[in-house]
Amino acid sequence: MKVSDNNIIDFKVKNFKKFKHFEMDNLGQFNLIVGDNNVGKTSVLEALLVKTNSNLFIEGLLHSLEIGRNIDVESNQNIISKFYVNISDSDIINSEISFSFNTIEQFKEIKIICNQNANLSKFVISINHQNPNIVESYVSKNNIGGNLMPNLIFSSNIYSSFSARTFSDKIYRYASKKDKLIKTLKILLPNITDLYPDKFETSSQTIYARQKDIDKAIPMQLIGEGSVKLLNYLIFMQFFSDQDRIMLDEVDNGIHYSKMKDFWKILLKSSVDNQIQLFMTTHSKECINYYKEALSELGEEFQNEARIISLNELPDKSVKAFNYNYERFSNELELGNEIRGGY
Amino acid sequence: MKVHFFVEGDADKSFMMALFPQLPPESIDILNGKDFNDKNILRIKEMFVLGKKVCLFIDADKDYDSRLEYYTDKKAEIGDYNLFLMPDNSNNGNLESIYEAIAKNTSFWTCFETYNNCIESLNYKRTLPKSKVYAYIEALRDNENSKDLFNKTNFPKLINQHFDLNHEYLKPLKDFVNSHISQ
Repeated sequence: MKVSDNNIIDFKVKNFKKFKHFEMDNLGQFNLIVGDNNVGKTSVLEALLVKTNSNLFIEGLLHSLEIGRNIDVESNQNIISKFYVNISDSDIINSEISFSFNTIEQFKEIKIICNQNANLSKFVISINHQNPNIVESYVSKNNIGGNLMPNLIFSSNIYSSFSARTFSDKIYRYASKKDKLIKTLKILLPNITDLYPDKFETSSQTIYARQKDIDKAIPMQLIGEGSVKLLNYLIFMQFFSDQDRIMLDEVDNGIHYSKMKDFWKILLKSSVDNQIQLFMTTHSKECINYYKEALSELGEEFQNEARIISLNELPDKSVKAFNYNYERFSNELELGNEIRGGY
Repeated sequence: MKVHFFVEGDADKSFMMALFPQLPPESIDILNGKDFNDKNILRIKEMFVLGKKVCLFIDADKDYDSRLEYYTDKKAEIGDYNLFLMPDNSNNGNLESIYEAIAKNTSFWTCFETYNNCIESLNYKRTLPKSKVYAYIEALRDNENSKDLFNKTNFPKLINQHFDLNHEYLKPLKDFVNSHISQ
């Protein structure tokens, strides 16, 4: 199996959200993050939004505040302070958040340093420890572009019109891509015969589905949450194809248990086809068990790339990531041992 | 300080859950045998990283002394776990020895001994200590309990029903566990 040279192998973050210091290593193509409530699973996904393009990075972070956390960015003055750990607004000047990671090819470190005006931040970007590049960027509501979609997808924004626009623009116009998407979707929805957008390209809001023996096409949202979720994930994968990674919060929400194994198989195969590293969260033991079952059917190449990252809070309130490879998490699950932390 | 328990297998976990219902099931891990391997060593070490106290329950079997020596030596590599050798932390034996001692209907063992002797006379060298406990429960069960007797929910209930969990024989085990969970 070919994995992208952009895949993150290890990742460290300092002073971000609840993490004074947090690290994960030995990451794979598929990384399922588990842990107790409030241990920081979604914060890890937010940290993984890190990019050397400071505007895209800020946009992703602000999007996560607005969509994932329901924080009104416009009414908050010191927006960037929301991303600092245990630092009051008055103390954040010149304090820094840092993200560092190794891919197969490169080491990258990105620091955010808050200036006097808490919304004006300096970005220090180092690649392979050489030539720190300093970029200043103003953090505001204007950083959120209307048409761009961060690569972190929350369960709550799965019905976004972004997927309809992307479908119309990047998939519908290409017969082979559309046919492949429908063929994949048929695994969960065998009666689907066709998909088309309500309008073309950027003005599209809805994807319509035609089904066998039913005359009238209906919006995908009406077919069911799990099906829409899978369709949207497949569209996102297509959109982010060959770009770094995609983060899926509460990946299994809305998926019925009887479809969960096929859901996993489709998702993991799509991740490989599109060369996208996956980081996902779940609370569900059922979801973890089907992840294992899907991998046992997909074979050794997939298993070698699968991880479960268990986040655990230590007595000093720091968070430690335990990494389980396929062999290890299969063993623990078969024995009935708990690997989701919180015990 | 939180405590994490490691036992040899499913049956041991069911027994511990029956005897100590206050323990959360997720605080009891199954080692899958009495041997250490890379996976269970890593798991034990992770519990130490989490700042937990680790208690290990292993059958003494036929040689208490050598078992004690082995697990004591392993602490240097793995960490300072607390060890309890079944049945009573001082004699040879295993979980089945406990069951035999605390059964409410001890006359059953005579029946099983006859059955076991018969099996052995057929040159099957195996003794059947685990089957003995299951057969005891099967023989004494109520009709309504015929389904899934030994699953994770029913087995601890049946242990409660057919064994004397206040038996003096359990004192060393109870004292050991209580001394650790009360700290």
